[in-house]
Amino acid sequence: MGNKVATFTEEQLEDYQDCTFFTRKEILRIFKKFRAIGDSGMIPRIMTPQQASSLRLPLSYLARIPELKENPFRERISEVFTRRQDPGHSTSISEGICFEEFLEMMSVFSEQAPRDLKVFYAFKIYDFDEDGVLGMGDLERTCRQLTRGGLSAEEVTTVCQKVLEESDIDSDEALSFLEFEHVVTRASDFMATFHIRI
Amino acid sequence: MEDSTVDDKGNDSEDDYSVSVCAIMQRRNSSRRQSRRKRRPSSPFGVDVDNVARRRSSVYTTSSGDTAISMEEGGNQEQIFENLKLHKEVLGGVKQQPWPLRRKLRLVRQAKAYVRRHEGALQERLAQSRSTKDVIARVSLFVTKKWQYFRREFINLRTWLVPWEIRIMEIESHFGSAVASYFTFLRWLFWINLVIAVTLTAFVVIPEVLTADATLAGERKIMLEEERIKSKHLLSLWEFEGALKYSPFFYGWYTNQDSNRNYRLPMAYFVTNLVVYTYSFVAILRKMAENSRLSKLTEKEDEYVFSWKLFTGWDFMIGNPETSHNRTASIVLGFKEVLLEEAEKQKDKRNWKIISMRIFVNVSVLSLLALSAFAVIKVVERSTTEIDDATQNWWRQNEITIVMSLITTLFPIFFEVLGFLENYHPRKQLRVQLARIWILNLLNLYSLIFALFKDVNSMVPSKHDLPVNKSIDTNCEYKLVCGVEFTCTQQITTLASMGLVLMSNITHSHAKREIIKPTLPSVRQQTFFLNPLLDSNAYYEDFNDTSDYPNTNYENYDILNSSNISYTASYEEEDSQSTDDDRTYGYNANSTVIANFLTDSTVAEDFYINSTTQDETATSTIETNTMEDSLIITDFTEKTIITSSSIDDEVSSVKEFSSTVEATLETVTKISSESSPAILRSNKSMSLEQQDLKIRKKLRRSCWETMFGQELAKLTVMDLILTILATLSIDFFRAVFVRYMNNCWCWDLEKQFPQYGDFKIAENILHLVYNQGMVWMGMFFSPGLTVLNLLKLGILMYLRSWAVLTCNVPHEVVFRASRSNNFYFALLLTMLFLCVLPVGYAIVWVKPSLHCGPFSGCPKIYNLATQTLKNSLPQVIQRCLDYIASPGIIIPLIVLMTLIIYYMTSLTGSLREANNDLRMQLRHERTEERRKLFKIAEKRQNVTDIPLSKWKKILPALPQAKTELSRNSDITRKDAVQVAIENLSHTIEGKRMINDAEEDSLRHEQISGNCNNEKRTREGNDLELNDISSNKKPINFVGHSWDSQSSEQSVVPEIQLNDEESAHGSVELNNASKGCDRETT
Repeated sequence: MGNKVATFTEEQLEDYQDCTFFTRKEILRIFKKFRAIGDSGMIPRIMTPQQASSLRLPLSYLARIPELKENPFRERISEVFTRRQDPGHSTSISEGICFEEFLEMMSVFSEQAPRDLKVFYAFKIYDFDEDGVLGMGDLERTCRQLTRGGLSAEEVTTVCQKVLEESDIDSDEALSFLEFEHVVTRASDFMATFHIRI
Repeated sequence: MEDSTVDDKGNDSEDDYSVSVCAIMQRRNSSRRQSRRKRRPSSPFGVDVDNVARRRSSVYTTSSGDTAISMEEGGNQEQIFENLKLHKEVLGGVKQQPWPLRRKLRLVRQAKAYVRRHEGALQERLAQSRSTKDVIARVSLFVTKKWQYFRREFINLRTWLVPWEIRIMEIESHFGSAVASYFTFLRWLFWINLVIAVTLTAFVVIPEVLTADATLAGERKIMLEEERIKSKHLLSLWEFEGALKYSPFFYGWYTNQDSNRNYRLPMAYFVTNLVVYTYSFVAILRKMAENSRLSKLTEKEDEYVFSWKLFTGWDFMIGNPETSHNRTASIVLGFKEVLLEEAEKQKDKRNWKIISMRIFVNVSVLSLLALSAFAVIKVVERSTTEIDDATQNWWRQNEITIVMSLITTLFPIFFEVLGFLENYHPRKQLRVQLARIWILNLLNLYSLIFALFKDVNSMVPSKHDLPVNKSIDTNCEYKLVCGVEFTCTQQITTLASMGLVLMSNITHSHAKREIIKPTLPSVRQQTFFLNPLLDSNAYYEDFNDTSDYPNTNYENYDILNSSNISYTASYEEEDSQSTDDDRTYGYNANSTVIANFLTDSTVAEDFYINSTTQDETATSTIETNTMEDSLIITDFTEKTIITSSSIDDEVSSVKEFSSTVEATLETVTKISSESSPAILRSNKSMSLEQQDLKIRKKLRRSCWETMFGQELAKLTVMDLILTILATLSIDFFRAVFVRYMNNCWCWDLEKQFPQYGDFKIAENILHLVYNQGMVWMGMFFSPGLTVLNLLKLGILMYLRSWAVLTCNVPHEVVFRASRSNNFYFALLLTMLFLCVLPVGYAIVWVKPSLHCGPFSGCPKIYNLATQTLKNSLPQVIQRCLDYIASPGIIIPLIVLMTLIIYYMTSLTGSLREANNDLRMQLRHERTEERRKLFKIAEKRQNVTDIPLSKWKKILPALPQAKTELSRNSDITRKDAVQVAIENLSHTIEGKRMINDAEEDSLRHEQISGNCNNEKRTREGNDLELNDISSNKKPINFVGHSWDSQSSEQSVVPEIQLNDEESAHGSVELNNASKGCDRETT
């Protein structure tokens, strides 16, 4: 424990606690997890707080978390949580994920995170082309990834059309965030399923 | 305010933010606040928006108006405190924001720095509040955490505890909800049966086994020697004969005597069964109600089937490849199901070909049903007409079972083939088929039952010629008169043994009453043993209580059994001897003695002698008073057929007894407690052996209740075996064959002819319902059947799930089971109702068997209950009950109920209509409202350019933020968009936007701070709202639509917020106008 605490300063931990929905213990656990998904030598045992928070792991390593490994939107999730960091520099995606981003991700997926936050990130995740709306292309991609090729192309198209029929209130052939939120917040099990245990 | 600068700074340049923090802070602390304000006039509101948004999205509420005010005042303590508060709110709320962690961190650090700086200044105030706050917060956090943890664990545990849950989930993911519904149903049935079986076992079987007195049971619990030999043979077990017949499994085994511990066994039997039937009804109805409630809920939420499946289909917690595969499969299936539903909605063709085909199918189904009923009736008739040993073979014995099982197995296949011709939607096809098979099963059961009842009716009158029956009928009430009647008939010689068993019961009960007589101790000492054995010319008479039979013609007996006198003499000798003794006599009826005295009549004397010699050994036990007196009654028949049966008895007074010694030969065995029931039973069985086997056999067979139970139990077992066989052959072996022979076969086995089997939901559901119906029907006649059924259901669960997962393929057309599945339950309920009818008939109309079961001796089964009720209630209440049960009450009651039902039905109809209307209206309004909102949002986009110098500051300055941010980098623009989104997500914002779009004159009104005004202005814009009272309506709807989870609760706070907000707004307006004034000055 002492070792781990030494990795971060007290102040840092406090700040993390203020910024996420975790207790310090959980933050440390997440850090341990973060350390575990890297190769053994990748994250040095002892490092400065600055290092600890900014050291980056390749995105592919995220797949070592079982929940993310099975998740059909894995790539998209990691993209969302890393790209938002530095939208100015698109190169940041390739650099991988740092601990703070990881922590942020876990915080969003934690049980305590409010619905609005989750909905926001869900929208981000489904918005593949990042144009601020879920267009037909986004929906089809979502559908295909979700079913992993279990539906034929026509079926996918039908499904997406049905989705638009149901939820696209202003009928602009795309779901805006409002429309998306409207639909999703009314789903009973969204909160239960949009959640990763730490 | 500081917060705002922080924000803006952050937006401006993230990198040098931390560097500039101190500077900003210092600047802020300085007195140049106003100038700073002038410099960046828009910033406060930008933040204000942020704050509002945050407040909306979080639990922490702050009032942005407050900060605005505080900024205007001087930099006194109050203000610092306010700022501190604000910062704390920032600290609390920052985690709710969808920003990158780094930005949040910066903000947090900033706020913290500020807090730290000023903490010293306001220490006394803060120290207090902070510590308590902290403690409370920590405690509450801890508690909620633990609570959440435990709740989660509990839920996990609960799902883990639900049996077969994982199995069912797996099936559901592969085969769809329709197949899974079968298993859920099966599991539910299992629970119901568990409850039933446990209740019956606890209140009927166990008390009977523990407390019932075997010696009083007559022939109920003993097997004939002939039967005993074969009792453990598989064949007899198969037919539920032998050991199983004489076990708690069947009705016939139960005694009609209360146990010696005052547990009323027959009563318990009756009441428990009643309770169990009631429970079944209640359980089904409750489940149905629950389901319909559920379906009502889901119906309302059915708006976004596809969207929900798409957006919330994936469970992010899945971390197991297997589960994830299942999940994907289930999502795909779910999509296919709903797609099919959609396709089906559009398909509606009226086609003559199909219609004629449907007519044809229905006709053929009807003829098949008629055929099956005919077959069952014929078979039952055939099998019950004559059961001769010669013609009796395995086939003849089991033909009913086999024919019925065959029908239930084969006919559904025909139905299925016919069903395909009808061309219905799969779900409708399923239902139609369900209904048909159900009718078939019901028809079978009913024809079986009524054929059997007919049989019973032909069985019962055959015994009515026995005069003893009359007396027995009244014996139910345990009246001594019966005994008198019996003696008066003087037809003892014609008595069947069964009658005598009952008679012995009578005498027994009578004797029991006399126990209280003071002479009892002396009775005890009079220990006699009546030799039950009689050879061809020996006649015994067995009435001990001659005082009760004053009219008995003893001479008659004397004449008949002259040879008995010697016995009497010896017996008297015994008597004297025994009285000479130390007044305690025990006959340790060991087997040798019994064997001896059974050999011939003379042995009786020997026995007495023997027994006297054994006095010494038995005395102690008699003194303990635990012995049981057993009276063995022998009867005489002209045919010299003597049946004797033994009963436990406490003998009545000695005097009476001794005075009648000459006339009657009485034997009273006093068997010490040492003489175990085993000996007693052997004693009995040996005596019974002497009965005429033919008569006894016939009597035993005449226990129609047991026969009934046996029939149903056989059916249950046969059904199970057929199911297993069918599963193995139709599913398993076929699958194996197809899989392995496919390579060396002429055609593609998997695609063409045999294929893999698919799971037949209709048959299987119906099979369950049918099975349950059999159990309900047989439950009364065979309590063990419930346990058997429990076993069967367990086996079925495993068998079916195994078969489904290993050798079935999903149905080609996957369709969703209807949500509620109430159809299954409706079938089950009807089945229960129809199965209770025959049982009720048996209880109310048919005379129970005379020598077996708990109700023997009663004219009708239910008389037992009514009699008990009558005996226990006072006269007045009885009269009331009588009146209530009379037509005078019943008929008006029925009329009343009919009227109420009629009323309720019409009420339901109108309510449903109203409900639909309201739902339509609600949906319409909601859509309209949302449309409007979007329109406003669009309008807002256009309005942004319009310069609204003063107004801009006051109103939530999205446009400003936007214009300002437009200068900045892409990031900030994005953030602005987010901000916009957040704003938009709240009604107030929506309202403000409306305001935004308004004209200046309206604004002035608004500045006056009247929230009503504001509403009115909005109303002016909202064309659809004509009424002031309807002001809140749209708010309601908006609130409802956004807060779907608790619409009622959310509506009110939302409105309040509205008011509050408008108040704030007005305050802000005032402030802003002040500020502007200053600006201008």
